[in-house]
Amino acid sequence: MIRADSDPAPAEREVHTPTVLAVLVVSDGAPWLRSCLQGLSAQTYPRLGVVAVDNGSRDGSREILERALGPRRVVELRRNAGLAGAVDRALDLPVAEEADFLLVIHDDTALEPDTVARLVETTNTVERAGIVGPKVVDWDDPRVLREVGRSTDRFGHPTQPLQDGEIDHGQYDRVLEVLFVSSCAMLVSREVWQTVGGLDERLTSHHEDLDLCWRARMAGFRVVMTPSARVRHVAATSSGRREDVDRHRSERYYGERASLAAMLKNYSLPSLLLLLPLFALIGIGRLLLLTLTRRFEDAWELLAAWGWNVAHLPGTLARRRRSQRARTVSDREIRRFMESATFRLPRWVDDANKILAEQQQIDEGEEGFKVRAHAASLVRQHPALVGMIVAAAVVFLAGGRILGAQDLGGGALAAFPASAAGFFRELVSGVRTTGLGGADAASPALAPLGATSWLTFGDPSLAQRLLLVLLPVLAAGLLYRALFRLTSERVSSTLAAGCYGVCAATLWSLSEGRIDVLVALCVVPVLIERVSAAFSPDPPQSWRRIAIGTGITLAIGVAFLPAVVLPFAVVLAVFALTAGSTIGRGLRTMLAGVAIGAALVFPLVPTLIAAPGPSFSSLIGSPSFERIVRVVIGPAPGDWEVAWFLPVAAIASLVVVAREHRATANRIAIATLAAIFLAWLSAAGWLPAPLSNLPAYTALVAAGEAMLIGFGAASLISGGIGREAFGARQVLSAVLTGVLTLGLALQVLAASVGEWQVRDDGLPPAWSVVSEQGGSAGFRVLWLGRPDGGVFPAPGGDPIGVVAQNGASVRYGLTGREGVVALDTGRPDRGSGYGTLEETLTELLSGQNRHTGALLAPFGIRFVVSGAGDLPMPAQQRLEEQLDLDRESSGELTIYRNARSFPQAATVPADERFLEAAGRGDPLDVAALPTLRGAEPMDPVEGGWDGRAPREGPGFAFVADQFVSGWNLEQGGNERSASRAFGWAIGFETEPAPGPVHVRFGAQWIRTMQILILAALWLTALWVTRKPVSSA
Amino acid sequence: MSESVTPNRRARREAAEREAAAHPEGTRTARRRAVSPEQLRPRGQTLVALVLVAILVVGAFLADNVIGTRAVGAGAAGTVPSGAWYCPHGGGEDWESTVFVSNPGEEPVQVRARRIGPDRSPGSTRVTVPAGGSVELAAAAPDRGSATVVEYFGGHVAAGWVARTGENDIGLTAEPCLPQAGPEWILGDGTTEDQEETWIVVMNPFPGDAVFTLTVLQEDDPPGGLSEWNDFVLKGGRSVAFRLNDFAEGDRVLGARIQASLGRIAASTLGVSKNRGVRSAVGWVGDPPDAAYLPGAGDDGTSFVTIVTPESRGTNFSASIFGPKGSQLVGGPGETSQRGDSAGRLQVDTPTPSTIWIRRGRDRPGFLATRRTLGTSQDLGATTGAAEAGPAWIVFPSVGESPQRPALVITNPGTGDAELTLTTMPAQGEPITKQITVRPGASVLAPEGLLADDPRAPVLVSAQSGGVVVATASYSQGREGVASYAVSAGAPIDPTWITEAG
Repeated sequence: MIRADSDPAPAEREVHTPTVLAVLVVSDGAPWLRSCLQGLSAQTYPRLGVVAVDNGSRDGSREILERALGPRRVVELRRNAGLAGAVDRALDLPVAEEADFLLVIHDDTALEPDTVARLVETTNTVERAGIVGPKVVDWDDPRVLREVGRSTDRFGHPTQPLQDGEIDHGQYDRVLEVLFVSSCAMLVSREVWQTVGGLDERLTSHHEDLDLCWRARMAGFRVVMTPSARVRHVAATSSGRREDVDRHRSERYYGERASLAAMLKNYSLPSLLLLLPLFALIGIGRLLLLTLTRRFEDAWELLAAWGWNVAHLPGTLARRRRSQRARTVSDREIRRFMESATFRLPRWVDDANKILAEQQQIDEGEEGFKVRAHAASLVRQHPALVGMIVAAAVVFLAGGRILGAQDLGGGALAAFPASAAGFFRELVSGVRTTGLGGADAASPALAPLGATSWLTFGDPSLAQRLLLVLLPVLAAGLLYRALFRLTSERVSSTLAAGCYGVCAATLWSLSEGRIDVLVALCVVPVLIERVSAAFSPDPPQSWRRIAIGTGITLAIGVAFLPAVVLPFAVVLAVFALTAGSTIGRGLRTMLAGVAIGAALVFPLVPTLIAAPGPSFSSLIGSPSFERIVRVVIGPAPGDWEVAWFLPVAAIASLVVVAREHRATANRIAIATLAAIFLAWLSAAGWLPAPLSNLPAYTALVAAGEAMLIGFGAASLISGGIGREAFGARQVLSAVLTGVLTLGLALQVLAASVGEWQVRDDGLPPAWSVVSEQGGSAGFRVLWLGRPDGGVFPAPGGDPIGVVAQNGASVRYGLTGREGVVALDTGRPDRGSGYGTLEETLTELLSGQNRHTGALLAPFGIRFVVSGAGDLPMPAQQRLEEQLDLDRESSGELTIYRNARSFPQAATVPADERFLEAAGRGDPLDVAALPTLRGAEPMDPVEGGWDGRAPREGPGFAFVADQFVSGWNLEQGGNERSASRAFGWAIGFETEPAPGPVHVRFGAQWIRTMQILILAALWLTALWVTRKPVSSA
Repeated sequence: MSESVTPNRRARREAAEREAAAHPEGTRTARRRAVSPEQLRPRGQTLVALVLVAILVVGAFLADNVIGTRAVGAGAAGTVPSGAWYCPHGGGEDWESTVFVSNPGEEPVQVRARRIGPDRSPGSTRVTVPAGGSVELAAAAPDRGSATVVEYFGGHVAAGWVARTGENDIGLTAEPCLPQAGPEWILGDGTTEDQEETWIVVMNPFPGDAVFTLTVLQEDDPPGGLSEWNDFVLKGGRSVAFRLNDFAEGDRVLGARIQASLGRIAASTLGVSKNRGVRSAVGWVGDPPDAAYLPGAGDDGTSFVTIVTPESRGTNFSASIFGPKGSQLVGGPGETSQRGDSAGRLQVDTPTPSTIWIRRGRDRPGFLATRRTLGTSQDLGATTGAAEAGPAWIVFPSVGESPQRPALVITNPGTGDAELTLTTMPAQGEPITKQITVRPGASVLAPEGLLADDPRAPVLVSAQSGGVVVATASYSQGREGVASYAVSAGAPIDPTWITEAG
C-alpha cells in the first residue's frame, strides 16, 4: 500500500529526482487518518518516503498507522511532543539523512495524488524556494478555500487574505510568494532546516510554521504557495473536532505567544526597538478593550502569553542568535510580505474600496449588472461591516466638528473635570462637592467616565468628545445586537440600527451633548431584548444569565440616567400583561434583574427612593404628539419633517411582520404606543414628578419604532415579498423601501450639515461675565427661565424644578462657575437646601420681597442668569425690582449680579445679627442682614475647606453646603461639630483666636466601605457574565 | 497542532449543523428563515397596526383638544415681605429732611434707612415702625444730591419726605418717596428763568454702578445736555444732583430724560429760587403715562402745568378740573398739543381745592405732567400727582415748623360716590378716624378735625368704594411767617397691605 522509499526506479535515479520524506504527525486523528493515509498512498511522486509519529494517541490511531505503514515506519511517543517534537524525532531517523525535502503533514490533511509532485516541481521552478505549501481547501466542502498562504501584521499576528467561506473560483491560481504557509502540509528543503534549524519545539503545535517560514525568509529562502498542489484539511484542533488534552489555553494565548516570540527572534534590533513600544501600546489598548467588553479571560490569556515570553526570554534570545546569524535578507524585504497596518481596519477599507471600485465600473458602463450584484451580495453577506463603514463615514461627517473642537461647549453639555482623577475623587468622596452639597453618593457612572478619561491619555475633554461621537454608534450597535438576537437577521438588524442611529432623538442627544440620554438610548434596546428573553417560551439563555444581564444593563442605565427605569417598567408591564404562561418565570427573572441592578448601584438607591421626583423627572420636552411620535425631543439637526420616516416605516413594518415575530413585535408596538402617551402626559404635567420624563420615554419610542422596522424588514427578507402576485405586501415593501431610503439618506444629510448645539466655543459670549469672575472663592449661579420644557442656555444645563407663581412661574437650575458638570451624572438635586431655595424663589416671584439677593446670599449665589427673552415678563420685572440684584449684561444672556452674595465658604466676624440670622434661619432675618463685611473666603482643599478665624473676637465659619452630620471644625487642636446655618447649611462658631481653621468631613469611612462593596459587586457581576473565551 | 486560524463563525456553523442533525425538523435559525408567504400574510397585522394608529390619532386629538396641558399652579404667597422706598429729596446747606415712614399693617415692620449723597454713605439707621403708626427720620441733607433709601422687612410701609431749607434758602418741599427704581426716567417742573435753579436729583441706591445719560428737553430747542452728563457713572449707594441752569439758562420750562445703560436709578426735580422758595416733583419711571391727576389746594387760583413729551412723536391732550363743585373741562381733545422731545407749559386757573386731570389724545404718545402751585406766599409747591386714581393711599404731611395749616385734598374722578375712611397714622398718640363720602368729579378737603391735633400725622386713605386721588397742600411757619408751602401727592399702596392689618 505504501510505496517503498528505499527502492527508487533506476530511471528516476538517473534524473536525480529529489527524495521527499513525508512526516505524518498524528494525535488522536483516527476519524481522518484513513483518508490521510489514502492520500499519501495515492501519491504519484516516485521518491517519497513516509514516516509517522504518533503523539501519544489514545483513539486507536497508532494501530491504524501500524496496519497501514508497518511498525517500522511508526514512531511512537508516549506523550504529545507537539509538532516540532514529532518532526525532530522523525529527523533523527537514519532515513531522514537521505531526504532532500521534508513534507510535514497533519493527520487531518488529505493529499491529492499529485500534491507532492507539484510541491517538488515548484521548488524547481521557483528560484531558492525553501518552503512550499499547497492550496488548502475544506475537508467537507472542497470548494471552500481554507488557505492560500498567509501573512502577518507588523507584530506577527497571523492574517490571511481569504473571506470566511470563500469559494475557490481559481482566483488564487498562481504561485504566490507569501510570508508563511501552514504546516498542515509543508514541504521544507533540507537546506532550510540545516541553515535555520527546525520548528521551535517550545511553541507546542501552535504557529511554529510562522516562525520557521520567517526564519527561512531571513536566510534568503522563498516561501511559496502553489495552487497546483491541493490538500483538504479539517483543522480539527481549532474547530474543536479533536479533543486536545494538551490544549489548555485559548487560541488567543497561543497566537499571541507565538507572535511575540517570532518578533523577538526574527526582527533585527532596530526594527525591534521601533516596534516593541508600539506593540506594548497596542497591547495595552487590546487589554483594556478586552477588559471593558468583559472578556476577562481573553485579557488574562493575553497577559499570560506575554508572561510566557518573559519567562522564556533566555531561550528566545538563544534562538534569536542562531536565526540572526543566518540572516541574509533585511527586515524591509520581509515586510513586503506582511500586512501594512495593525488591527483589521485596512481590510475593512479594502472592502469599501471594492465597492467603490465596482461603483466606478458601473459608472464606466462595464459589467454594471455584475457589479451591482456583487455589491448587493457584499451588503447581504457583511451588513454589519457595511453598516460600520457607513457609520464611520457619518461619524466623520457629523462628528468631525465635535471631535476637532478645541473648546467644546454649548447645548446641555456637562463639563468634565480637569483630570480623570476628578471623577474618581468625586466617586469616593463622602460628601457631594457639586450642587448644594450634601451627602448623596456620586453615581457609579463616574467610574466609567473616569476610566474613559484616563484611557484617552488622561484628557477628559478628549474622552468627552469621543463619548459624544461614539455613543450614538454604540446605541445603534446595541440595537443591532438586540434585534439580531430576536430575529437572527443581519441585514434588517443593520437597517434598524441605522434608523436608530440617525433618528431625531439620537441626533438631539448628540447635539445637546447629553451623554446620559445617549447611554439611555444604548441600554433601552438591550433591556427590551432582555425582557423579551425573560418572557419567551423558549428563552435563549438561563434565567440567571438573563437576570444578571438585565441587572447590569439596568444598573448602567440608572447610573447615567435613573429615569431609565421608566421605559424599562413600561416594557416589563406590557410583556408581563401579555405573557400568558411565562408570566411567572418572566417576572421572577425580571425581579431578580431589578434586584441585581439595584445592588450594582446601591449607594444611589437611598437617594432615588428618598427623592423619586428629582431623581426620575425631567422638565425637558414639549407636549406635542407629533413631535413625540417623530422622537423629536428638542431642536437639533434631523428634527425636521423627514423624521416622520421612523414612525411611518415602523407602522408599515408592523403590518408585514411575519408570524414568528408577531408576538414580540406587537408587544414592542404596544410598549411604544404607551411610551408615546406617557411622554406626552409627562410634558403636559399630568403625571406625578417621579413618572415624568419625556426624554426617557422617547428613548423607548425611538427604540421601539426602530425595532419594529427591524422586525418588518427581517420578515420581508426571510420570507421574500413573493413574485407570484402583486398585492399589499409588495406595495408595503415598496413604501417601506422608499421611506427608509429617503429617510435615512436625508437624516444622514441633516446630521452631516446641521449645526450641533455643542461646538467649538459654544458658550455665549456674555457668559464670560460669570466665568471670568475674579477671585478664588467659589460661587454658584442660579438659572431662571419660563417653564416651557426647554434647556437653559449653555452651560446652564437642565432645569431642576419649577416654581409656580401664576404668570411669573419659572423653571430654575443651579450650577457652579463652570456650569452643569458631569460629576452630577445620575445624581439628583435634593435636600433641605433646595427646599429653602424654592421658598426663596417663591418670595421673589410673589412680588412681595425685594431683598432676594440677600436671601440667595447664603447659597453662595453670585449670579442670576437667564436666556434673553426666556423669562416671563412678570418674573423679569420682579428681578428688576430687587434691591440687591444688579443687571450686568444683556445679549444672549441676562445676568444679574447678587451684590449680597456670600463666598461659598468663609469665616466672618460674629456679628450678633448675623449669628441670629444664621442660627434661626428665619428668612426675614436673612433678608434684613446688612452687607457682609470682613468675610474671609475659605479655600477648598481635599476633603474640606481651610481658612483663618477672624482676627478679633468670636467668629463664624460658614459653608454653603447642605448640612450633614459628620462635618467638624478644627481650630487650635480643638474640634467642634457643625450646626445648621440658615436652616440648611453648615456653620461653626469659631473661638476668638486668630489662626487657621480646618473644616473636614469625618464620616468618610462609610463611603469608602460603599465603594469597596460596590467594586466587589461589579467585579462579581462582570465575572459571572464574562464572555466565553475567544478561539480567535 | 498548528492549523489555520478558525473563526468563531465556522464553529457556530458547525454547531448549527450538529443541531440540524439532531433536529431534523429544522434548526432555530432555519425555522426563522423559513418564513412562508402565508406567514407573512398581513391581514391580522394590518388590523393590529390600524388599531394602534387609531389609538394614537384619537389620543392625540383628545390630548390636544380636550385634555390640554396642565396649568402651572398659582403658587404660594410670599411670607417675607420686604421692599424699599427711594427718596431723592435733595438738600442744601443747613437743610434738614424728614422721611416719614408709615405702616398700614397690623404687625410692626423693621426699617433700615440710609442717607446717601455724592460721597460714601455714613451708615444706616434701623427702626421699627409700629403697626398703624409712623416714624419720622430726620437728618441733615447737606447736598443738593442728598437722598434717602428706606428698606423695610416683615411687612409693608410707605414713605414720603419733607425737606426744610436752611438759612440761605426759603421754603419747604414734600413728595412721596418712589417705590421703584429703573433705567428710564422722565422729569418735569423745570425752569431756569427769574433766578430759578432747577436741579435733577439722581440716586443710585443699589450696590452696583449706574451709567446714564441726562438729556434736557426744552420748549423751543432740541433736546441736549452737557457732555459730562453723557454716560455719567454714578457709583452704587451714591446720589448726585445736576443743575440744569448749566446747560439752559433763562428757559421758562424744562424737562429731562434720563436713560441708564447700566443699573437702575431714581430721580426727582428740585427747584430752588431765591424769591419763590423751593419745590420738588418726583420723576416718572418707564414709559410715560397716559394721564395725570395733579391735586392742589390753598393756591391763589393759578397753577402752571409742565408737560414733557419724551418721545419723538408729539402729542395732544385735553384737560379737566375737579373742583369742589364738580368737574369742568378746560381744554378739549386736540385743543392743546405739543411736539415731541420737548417741554411745554400750561397756565390753569383753578378753584381750591382742585385736581387738574390731563389725558392724552387717542393714539398719541404719553407724557409727564407736573403741577407747580403758586400758593399765596413766596414759596412754591409742586407735585407729579398720580397717573390714576386708587383705592388706598398713604398721604404724608407737607408741613414744617408750627404753626401749621395742613390741608388734605381728596378728589374723586370716578362716576360714583367714593366712600372713604381716613385714619391718621401718628408717630405718637392715638389715631383719628373719619368717614367721608366724596361726590363724583369733586375735590374736597378732609374734615378739619382730622389733622388738628397732629398736623404731621400721615393719613391712611382707604376707599370702600370708588377710587380717589389724594394729596396734602399745607402752609407752615417759614422765615417770613406762615409762608412755607408744599404739596405732596399721596403714595398709592396695595389695599392688601391694609387688609393684612385688618
